[in-house]
Amino acid sequence: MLSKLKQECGASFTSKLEGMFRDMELSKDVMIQFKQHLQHQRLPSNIDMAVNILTMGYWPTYTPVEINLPVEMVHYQDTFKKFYLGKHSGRKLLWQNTLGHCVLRSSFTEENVKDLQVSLFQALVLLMFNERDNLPFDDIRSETGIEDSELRRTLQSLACGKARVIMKTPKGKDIGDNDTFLFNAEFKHKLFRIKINQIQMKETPEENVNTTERVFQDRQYQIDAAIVRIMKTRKTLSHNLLVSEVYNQLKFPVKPADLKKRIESLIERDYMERDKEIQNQYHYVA
Amino acid sequence: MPPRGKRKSAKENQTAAKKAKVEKSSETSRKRDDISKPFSVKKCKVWFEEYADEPDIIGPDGIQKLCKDLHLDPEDIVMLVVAWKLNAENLGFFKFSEWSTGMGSLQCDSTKKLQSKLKSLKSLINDPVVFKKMYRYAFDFCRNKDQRSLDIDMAMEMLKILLSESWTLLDPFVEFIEQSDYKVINKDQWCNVLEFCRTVKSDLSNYDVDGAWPVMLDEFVEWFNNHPKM
Repeated sequence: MLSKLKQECGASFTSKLEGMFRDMELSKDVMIQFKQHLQHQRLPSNIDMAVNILTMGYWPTYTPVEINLPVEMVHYQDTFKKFYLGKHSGRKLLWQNTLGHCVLRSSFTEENVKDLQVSLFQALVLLMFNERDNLPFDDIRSETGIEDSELRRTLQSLACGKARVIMKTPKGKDIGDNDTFLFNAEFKHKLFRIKINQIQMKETPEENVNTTERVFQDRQYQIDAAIVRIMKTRKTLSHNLLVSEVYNQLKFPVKPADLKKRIESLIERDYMERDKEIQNQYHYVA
Repeated sequence: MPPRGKRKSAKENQTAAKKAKVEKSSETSRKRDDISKPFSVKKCKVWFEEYADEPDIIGPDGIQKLCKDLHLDPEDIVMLVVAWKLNAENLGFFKFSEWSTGMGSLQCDSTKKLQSKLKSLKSLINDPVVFKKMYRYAFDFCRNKDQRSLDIDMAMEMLKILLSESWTLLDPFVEFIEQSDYKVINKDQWCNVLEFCRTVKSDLSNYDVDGAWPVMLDEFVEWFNNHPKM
């Protein structure tokens, strides 16, 4: 596939993709060596860790997020860091917590044991329930250190999604500041390994305005084209008739003020002109 | 026609005054200058050179001097009428070609003769059709020739000269423009201001939101209606 793309679009097009594949291959090798290295180390608990080393520049830019990892994980991270930098000095390792994912072996009861496939954030929250069955929102926030809106989404995915491994009181779709969360001992699922999906981030109002603006930017050429097309056939047209014809032709909504701006812009660019005597009449300019 | 305000400096005013003094002495010699004498091309050229700052051009200083001799405020609307009659291309400048043809058609070859015509020139703009022509001319006259639009500051100064007597909403309109983001005004907007001032009542009661007014004027109406009345 990659070689096909390379043939079709040139080496520069695929260089990043190739870099990504190389990263994955190299990471596999590194992990084998790391496993051997671990055998000589004494590390607590029974965590299995896999690290992918992503070369900056090949991958999209991810903003690093600070969170509080459990001691055991930090221990593993440090061990890996020492191991890796011992092999490649001068490199810089940055943990991308947003990309992490875990498989948690969870015993809801003695018999009811499941593997939960979750993101690192979800894992941090769930691990807290090892200590206590009942946790208020504030406690979770301060202990995990996950950013507020991120944490709300994480809790939503665990307590309001399809697989509700924890329960929240009061019940409801949104996470409030005073909600408490309870370990769901009666959790049932027909599968053994369950993937709990992260909830998609909602568009912020700012992004929404941005998108609308961009959509309008793209559409303005269509508006311009419609106006010019109409004026070209009609030669002379009153403002109201032109506007209603444009609305008939366009398949998307346009604010009247925006439409007028397009007309004015076309007048300024000499595609059409306003009648010198009749203020609301336009002429097509060939 | 107003010389651009920025160019007025104390020093320039001084030299202008000096020039005016010199002018006075020569004026006495021209006492015999009879308004009823027929137009002479030669005299017209001599008259032009009296004010010319450089060959073939009367610049801002010369125009200021001319205004002084005519006992006119440079911002008097009649100066705009003169510029229009001369079909002058650029604000603050009269080319000799413009001068000779324009003054020829006005039959003027001296300051005195021009002065005697001022009244009838000024009365020209009472005709709405003539005024409209001149109003449209003013846009291109003031425009920086490498731009399609007119700088907003210049446009407002010009509007004050043109419409201060006829449009009661001029002050609010200028205020609206000053608080807006508009940096320039295009010809269509400019021409519509005149239409607006002629057809829309000062209380905006007959203003049609769905009309063909440029968005600038729609915004002005909205701003005006949401604004404590002045």
